[in-house]
Parts: sequence; structure tokens; C-alpha cells
Amino acid sequence: MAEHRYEEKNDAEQNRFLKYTVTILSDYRLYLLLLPIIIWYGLWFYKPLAGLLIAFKNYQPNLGVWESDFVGFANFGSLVSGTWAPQFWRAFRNTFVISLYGFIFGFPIPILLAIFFSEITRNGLRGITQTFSYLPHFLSEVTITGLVLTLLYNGEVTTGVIAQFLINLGVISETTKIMQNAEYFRPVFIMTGIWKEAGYSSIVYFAAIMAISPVLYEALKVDGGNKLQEIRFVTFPGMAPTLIIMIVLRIGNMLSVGYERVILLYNANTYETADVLSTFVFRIGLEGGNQSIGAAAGMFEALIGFALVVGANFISREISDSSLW
Amino acid sequence: MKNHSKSLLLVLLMILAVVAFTACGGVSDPEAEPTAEPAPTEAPAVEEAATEEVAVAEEEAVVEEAAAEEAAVEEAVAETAEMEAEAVPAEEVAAPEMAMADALNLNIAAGNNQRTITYQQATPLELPDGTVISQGALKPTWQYIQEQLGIQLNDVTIQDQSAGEMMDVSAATSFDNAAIYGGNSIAEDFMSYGAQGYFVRLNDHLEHMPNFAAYLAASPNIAKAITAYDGGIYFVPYVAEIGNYARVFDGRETWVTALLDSDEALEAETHTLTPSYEGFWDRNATNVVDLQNEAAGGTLTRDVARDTLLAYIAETYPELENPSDLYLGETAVYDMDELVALWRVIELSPNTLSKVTTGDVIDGAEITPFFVRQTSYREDVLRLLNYFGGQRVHGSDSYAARFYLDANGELQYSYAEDSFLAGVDLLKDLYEEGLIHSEFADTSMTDNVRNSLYAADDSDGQQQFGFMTYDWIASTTASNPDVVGMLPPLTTVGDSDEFIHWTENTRVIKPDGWGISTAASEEEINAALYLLDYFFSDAGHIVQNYSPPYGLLEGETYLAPDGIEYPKFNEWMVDASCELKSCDMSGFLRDFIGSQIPIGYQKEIGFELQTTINHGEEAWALWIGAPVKSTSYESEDPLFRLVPPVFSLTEQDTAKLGQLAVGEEQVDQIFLYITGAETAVDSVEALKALYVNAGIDDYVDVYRNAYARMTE
Amino acid sequence: MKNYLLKTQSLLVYALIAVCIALFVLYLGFMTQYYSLFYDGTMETFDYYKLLQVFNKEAFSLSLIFIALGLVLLMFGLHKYRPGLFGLIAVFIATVYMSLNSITILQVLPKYKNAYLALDFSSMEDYVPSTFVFDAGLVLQSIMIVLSVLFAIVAVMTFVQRLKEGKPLVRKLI
Repeated sequence: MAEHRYEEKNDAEQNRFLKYTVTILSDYRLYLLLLPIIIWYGLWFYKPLAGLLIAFKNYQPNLGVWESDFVGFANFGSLVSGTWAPQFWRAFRNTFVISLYGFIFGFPIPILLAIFFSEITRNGLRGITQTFSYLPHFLSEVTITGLVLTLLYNGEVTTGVIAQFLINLGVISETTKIMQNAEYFRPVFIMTGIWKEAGYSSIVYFAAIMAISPVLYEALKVDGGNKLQEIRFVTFPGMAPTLIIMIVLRIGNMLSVGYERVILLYNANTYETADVLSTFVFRIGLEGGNQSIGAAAGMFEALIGFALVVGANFISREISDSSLW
Repeated sequence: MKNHSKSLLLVLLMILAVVAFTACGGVSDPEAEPTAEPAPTEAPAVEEAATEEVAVAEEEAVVEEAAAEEAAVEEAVAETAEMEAEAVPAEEVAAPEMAMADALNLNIAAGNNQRTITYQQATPLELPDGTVISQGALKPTWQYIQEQLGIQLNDVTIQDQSAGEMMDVSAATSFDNAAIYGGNSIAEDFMSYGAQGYFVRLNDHLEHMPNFAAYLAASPNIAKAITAYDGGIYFVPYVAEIGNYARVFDGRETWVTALLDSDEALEAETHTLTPSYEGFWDRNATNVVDLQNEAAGGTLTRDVARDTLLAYIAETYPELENPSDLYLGETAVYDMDELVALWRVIELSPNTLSKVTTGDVIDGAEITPFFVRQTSYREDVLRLLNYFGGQRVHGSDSYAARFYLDANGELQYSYAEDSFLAGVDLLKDLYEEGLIHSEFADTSMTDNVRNSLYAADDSDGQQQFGFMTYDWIASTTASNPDVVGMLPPLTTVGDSDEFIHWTENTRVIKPDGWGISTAASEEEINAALYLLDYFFSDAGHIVQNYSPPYGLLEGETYLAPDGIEYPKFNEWMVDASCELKSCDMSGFLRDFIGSQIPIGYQKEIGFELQTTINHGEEAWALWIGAPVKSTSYESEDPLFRLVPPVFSLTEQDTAKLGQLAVGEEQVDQIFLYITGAETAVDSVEALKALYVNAGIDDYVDVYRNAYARMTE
Repeated sequence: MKNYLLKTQSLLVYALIAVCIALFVLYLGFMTQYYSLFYDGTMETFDYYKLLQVFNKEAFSLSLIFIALGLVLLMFGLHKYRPGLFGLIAVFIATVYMSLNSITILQVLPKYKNAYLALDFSSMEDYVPSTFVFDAGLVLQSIMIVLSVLFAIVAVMTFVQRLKEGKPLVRKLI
């Protein structure tokens, strides 16, 4: 009998498809409002997906995506084990390494900043400090990298302030050209990123901290907790859901290293440590006109990014209650 | 009931969907649907040189082929000449009797909005007759052409778009938004899309282009170089001032005389260098680099370097009046080793040379013996290899033209050759000694080095001075009154033992130009042919090379050092170029007037000669007088023959190249190796391996086959 | 009592969708071994490559439609529930389309394969002929036919089962 009721219930639900149609028709005004967004997504996010097909084709602009000839996985073969392999794997390695460094060094700084901000009790002072830390975010990447290049430049004619400072300190030699030296690229890149984005990224954590009930802090005080214990037992647990979500998002974006910054900072001398997948795609696909190979490399990156975000979400769901979906 | 009717509606929708799906059709049968197969455009490359025997036979038949080629060319010349005789006399531009559109859309991209046919300056330009040209209007030259031909010209170019991108985007719409497409570095596209039917095959319309037909008839080598593999000519090229020298060696005259001809100017020097370079030549009894190295005992000082050099010159060239004559003027007979010996002395004399240049010894002055204008010209350092046994570097006037013809007439990719890479080791030595500008290959540095090393001697705090470069005569000699043209180092070339002055770099057919879209109407095509031909008429030639008549002196000409008379700019042009473009006439013509834009025309040297100042004319005379041997399209010796600006590639060629990674990556590595970067490979063998792994053998095969098709 | 028929139906839907995806991947990578026929071979291999393109483009289009049909089956909930009238129609559309086109592909694939085997590869250095994708295509399309037929039969049975239980032919909408 119970089985029968179950079946009845399911049978009723089976009409979802029709039910949705009818619902849409009856509430068409609401769906009409939704339409522009759907069109936007369709045109700018889903329609271009069809263009991924050129990774499997010998793309010729005059024939277009669909009419160009199929080449199977040949482009992927060239990348992974063919003539492009050395450059591709170098970019692949750099993407991971730079992302990882960015994650290890770049991720905790905004959190620390947010905690520091929350500890500043005078509102005026906090406002000024925060504003100063947000400022670089509002400057364009070109301006920021231009500044970095100027400050670190050590050439025949001029020497940047920071470069001169480092020479005076004896950290680098007089002939060391920081931006032409592959071993300095990653630290410069990561530090530039932290300088530009740490302040702005701290907003979301700061908001999370602000949302923690003061009662919890008071309770801890009553129990005799000190400042560090406050952070350890109230602040961190309080912002944990936000942290998890941000980690998942960050891991998803791990491979999309900000290519504008890399392009603006790197040069042939630093390809060894600086060339990432997106700059590789840019150089080969757009500058070199080999769109199919470029698309294949881009797709490779996207697929790994997709796997990473799914993986991170899964792990997060398993070890905590927070997840994106 | 209501629900029921909705259900019926959905059933209907479903049935419609079924019809739609089944209409998608089945799968083709290879035997049943032969018509669905796209027609192949060309036999695969492999078939053309299917066996090694064929290749060998081809090599053996080079001489016969050349003879056959000549016969074919003669035939073509005769044919075209005949046609020309029948055609309208190639003078002034009387409108031909054919239905022509009265307006044309032009898409001429240069990747720089200043260089399109539309005036893009914020400052309006007032012409001598009072007409004001404002932003957005056609540039004066193009307005003039419009009036002369009676055809309205509409510029539909996306002003900042690069020509390559423009071709890609236009290809997606089958070139239907303009009648004429043009720009720089797109000759390969014209050939490839032309062979696929997107561009008008100009050979079939030469009767409507009498001036261009006459030009091709007179220049069969140009005709051959722009002919695609299917025999079609699909674009009209921009041909630079062929037959004239391009870049030359320039150096500071007083530096050489001050250091070598007397002791008067010498200051005490403390600078030293550690020799790395060990000399290349053994044409004389002793080698001056060897002598310097031996005398140095590990560390070379100015005095040791100078004394050794002077002693060597006295012993080896007793006939020279002054030691500096070894390097300067028409008596120059130096080779690369002797030049290096001089560079060392120069490098070691910062006090002396800063005083010679500015009147005072400058503390901390740095001397650069050899530099290139900017880092994007870094390949000019590689051109020095020409003087280490005549190694060819570029087959045409483009850094990307890395194919050249060897003595057997076979294409070789210079950068991957063992002999080239061995030379790279020598350049590495020179760089290590500090004889080449330390930042020449640092592409992130975009300064104009020629400005800072030649043109800023009088600037406050100036500490950087350069001695020698390899660059264009007019602009380089204009940058410093002490800079003179120098003959190139002596070298042997090929198997010959004769030491000659030669330069590989010369003026060539550029991979730029314009073509007519087949998507245009017949009337538009006719009008476009008329326009393209205009630039080869006398009137069009002058307008495009100099300016419309109001920019020239009427009835007066400029007499060049070679005895030829050219149109002469009037005062208004000279003044306007100085006021608006810092006396850069070339830039003024392109950015303001609209002449000399890289579309199909023959550029003339008269413009450059009459804007040459300081020791520029002497440099011309020196090179012409020597004479310095140069490459050309006509040379019978393949080693001195220019290759076409681009190769006509088939669909298969392009596909195969797409799977190969030969390109800028390896070139970057060569420069990293020369400059001793930490991430550089450790030997030239490793550089070679980079090329091999990137598929250089297949890459060379593709181009050899393409070249064979073009010269068949 | 477990409804084995429904269970079978559910499994068949998933199996069909899996085959659709496998075919999609297969036809996406179909030319991998044959691209060099285009740029490295002879006139014959070039012609064959162009001919194979026609097949590949059509087969790829079909694989997209197969996947779309698979999604329609999911939208009708046929992986969970017994079909009503509309569900049954969807089943018929999908299975008939899949099996008919699979039969056509099964007819033409061997011809392409034989034409490939008849080619002369001697001029191509290091080329190793492979008929893997042809064979995989044959296997997958055969599986698709079998699954389609089975699925149609099972769907009819669950439909009848449902009607016998006195359920309405067309379900209530709300």
C-alpha cells in the first residue's frame, strides 16, 4: 500500500516538464523580466562555447567554426607530446606554480588585513587605512605594472628607486636586472598582486567579521579569553563559511592567472618562469595566428579549472558543511 | 478541458519536432555522395617531391631550370609588352571606357590610426590653397586622388585594427564590406585567399591596368615574386626603392681619428676588459685579435689594446697614410677582427672619448662600441654574421625572412643552420666583452637607443655614448653631425676566396599591398582596377611618393648624387613637416598628407635623398663608389639573390605549419644565449635541438616546396 | 515489490545517454589519426581526408542531436518514472531517430574503412595506419541500436503496466 502511494506521488511529479511549461505561461510577466539576462548569458557565455570546436578543427576564418575541417585531437596531441610540448608544459607548470604561490601567499593576507582592520577601534583611522589599502585596486593593471617596472628598472641609463634601494642594501648586485631575471619574476608578480588586491579583497572578510555577534566576544572575555583566543575561537569560526566559499572560488580560478599582469610584466628573458597558459594562448593563438592550437590550450586550462572547482567543492562539502552547491 | 487543449497543443509541437529532426537527414555514403566533397585546392606537398631522387634531380637541374625560367620570364615580358602596346598608352589617367562605380569602399589597415587614409590628427591641417583638413576627413592625397579619378573613396577601415586582424575578420564575411583591402604584411593572405577565389585575379584584367601591366613587364622578377602558386597575381605590392642601399654602417669619425691618428687627445684610462673573443680570420700574417689577447695576458687595458692595434696596422697596412684610414672612407679594408680590435680600444677609452665628444672628461662615462636603434631591431646584431665568412642571415628585408638561397639555389633556414649557430657563439663572445649594447635584446626596454647614444651628446648629465650602428642612412647621419657612413667589413662570401665589401640588407618588395575583393560588383571592380593602376601612372607615382602638386616646387627638381632628378618639396611642405612632425618628412607624409601609405606602388628614393643632411650624402657616395655589393632579385648567383617577400602556401602547407612550433620562441632563445641569461640553454647544440624539436626539417620542406611551385 | 521493469527502463536511459556521450567524443576526435593524410600524404589521401570530413561533420551533428534527445528523455523523467502518453511519444522519437541513423552509419562506416585500408601510405614517414575509430564507431552505433530497441520495448511495457494500474493516459498538469 505504501508502495502504491509512493508510485502515485511520483506519477504526479512526473508531469514536471508540462507543469513547468504551464507555470512559465501563467507567470510569463516574471519570465519576461528574466529574459534579458538569459539572452545575455546565452549570447556572451553559452554561444561562444560553440567556438571551442575550433580546438578540434583546422580553423580557417573564411570557412568559419562549423565549416572548417575536423582534425580530431591532433591539436591536443601537438600540445601535449608534439612540437609545442616544451612550451606548453612550461606554461602549464608556471600556471600551477604561480597560482599555488598566489594562493599560499596571496590568500591569507586579506584575511589578516581584515582582522587588523576589525581591531582598529577608531572609526576615522580605520576608514583612512582601509581606503588607502583599496586604492591600488582602482588603478588599472597597466598603471600598476608600469609603476612596478619603473621602480624595479635597472638599466644603463636609469635605475628605479626600489632597484637602487636593493642594490644599496646589497640584496642584488649592480648588474642585476630584476625584470629580466627569471628567478625574480614570481615574487614580483605575487607581491604586485598582493599590493593591488589585498585591501580590496579584505572587504568580504571584514564584512564576515562584522557579522559576528559581539555577544560571543563578550562571552569569551567573561571566560577570561585573551585577544589571540578571541581570534582563534570566535573570529575564525565566525568567518569560516565565507572562508570556505572564497577558497572554493579561488581554487576554481586558480588557473586563470591574471594574464594582463603577466603580459605586461614578462619578456623573453622571463618566459621560463612567467609564461602561463593564458599568455601562451595569447601569443600562439592571437599573435601567432594559430587559433586552433590556442583554443586547444585554452580548453585544456578550462577543463582543469573545472575539475579543480568541482574537486574543491566536493572536498569542502565532505569536510565541512559549507559548499558552493 | 482547458488542460486537455494545452496537452493537444504540446502533442502538435512534438510532431513538429519529429519532422524537424528527421529533416536533418542521414549520413553520407562515400560512394553515394561524391559531390559533397569539397574540391581540393592543390596536390599535397609530398607528391611534388615524392622521392629523394626527384629532389636530387631537381638540384642537378637548377642551372637548366634557371635557363628555362629566364625563357619563361622573357616570354611573359614579351606578352605583357605586346599587351601594353595594344592597351591605352600608359600615360595620364584618362578614364577607361568601362562601366565604373562612382564610389568605392576601402579597407586599408595598418594597426595604427595615424597611418590610415583618414586624417586622424587633433590639429587641423591648412593646405596652401586654404582648404582645412580636419579629423575624420580623407587625407589630402586621397582627396586629390578622389578628384582626379572622379571616384568617391570611402574609408571603412576600423582605424586601429592591424592588417592581419582585418584580413581574418573580413575573411569571415567573405570580404564583402569593401571593394579594396590593403595593409602591411598581408601578402601571404592575398595569395592564399586569392587562390581560393576571394580576390580578383589581376592577370586577367591587365588590359584595364596599362600602367601596372607596363610595370610588371619591365620588372619580371617582381611579377614572379607576387605570383601565387596557381599562377594568379592577387595583389599589387608596395615595392620599396629597390636597387638602392638600405641600412649602412655608421660610426663617429672623430673617435677613430682621435684614438688612432695621434696621441694628443688621449686621456688616462682605467677601464679594462677580459677578452673572450678569439678572432676569426687568418687572411693576414697575424691576427690582431690574437695579438691583443696575447698582449693582454687576461686583462686588456686601453694602452695595450691601442698599441697592439697600431703596431698591427703599421705592419700589415704600411701603405695607409693614417691608421684610421683602415676604417674610414673609401680606403677602408678592415675585416671583422680588425673592427673588434678597434671596438676594444673604443670600449676602453671612456675618458678620452667623452672629452672628444663633449669637451670634458665625464666621470662614469660608458661607451658602447656597437648598438642597434631599439630592441625590436635586435636582429641587426645577427646581421654581423654576414661578415664572418659571408653567413646569410635574412633572405629579404624583414627580420622574419629567415629563408635565403644557398649557392645551389636551395632554400635554407639561416637561424637553424650549424654555421649560423657557430657564429652566434662569436657574437656571444663580443657581447661578453661589452662590445655590444648591454640591453640590445631586452625587448621590455623600448627606448630609442640611437637617440640616447648618438643624439644626446649635449644633454645634461649625459654619460652614454655609442660608436657604431647599422641603420638607415638619412635618419642616422641626421642624428649626429660626427656620424659618417663606413664601408662594411671585408669578408668572403660562399666558396669564393675574394674579400669583398657587401651588404645582405637592401630594399625589397614589401609583403604589403592591396587587392580587390571578388565580392565587389563588376562596376566596383572596374573602378578599383582604375584606382590601383593610377599609382603606376606618372601622376599617381608622384602623388603617392611626394604629395599632391601643391606640396612640390613647380618646374624645379632635386638633383640627387646619382645624377637623377626628382620632384622637389616646396617650402610649405618643409615648414609644415617641421612644425607638425619635427621635420620628419616621412612621418609627415604618412600621418598628415596621406602619401607613402603601404599600398601598392613603387617607392622612389628621391624623397629620402633630398631630406638627407650632415654626412648622409657622403655615405651614399661612399657606398656607391666602392661599390658595396648587394643582394638583388636579378643576381645570377643564388647566394646574392633575394627571396620573394612571402611564399605562396597551399591549404596543406598552412595546416602542416600549424602543427610545427618553429617561430619566435627559438629566436628569443638565441638572444638569451648571446646575452648569457640564466635561463638560456648552455650551447649552440642545444639551440639547434630546440629547432629540431620544433620541427624545423618539416618546416623547411614546406617552404622549399612552396618556393619550387613559385619558380616553376 | 520492486518494479524491475522501471529499474530496467532507468538503466537503459542512462546507458543510452552514455553511448550518446561516447559517440560525441568519438566523432570529436575522429580525425586524429587522419589529419596527416591531409598535409603529409598524396593526392589520394588528401581526397580521402576531404571525403571523411563530410562523414565526420554529419556524424558529429548527429551525435549532438543524440545528446539532445537523451536530454529530452531526462526531461520527461524517463530515468525515474514510467512514461505517460507524451513520454512514450518522446521515447519513440528518440529511439527511432537513434536507431535509423545508427543503421545508416553502420552501412557507410565499413565503406569508409575499406577505402582507408585501400590507401597507399608508403609516402608518409612514420605513419601507422589505424582503424580504431571506425571499429569503435561500429561497436557504439550497434550498441545504440540494441539499446534503442530494448528501451522502446521496455517503455511500452511500463506504459501498459501503468495503464493497467488505471492511471490516466495523459497526466494531470497541475
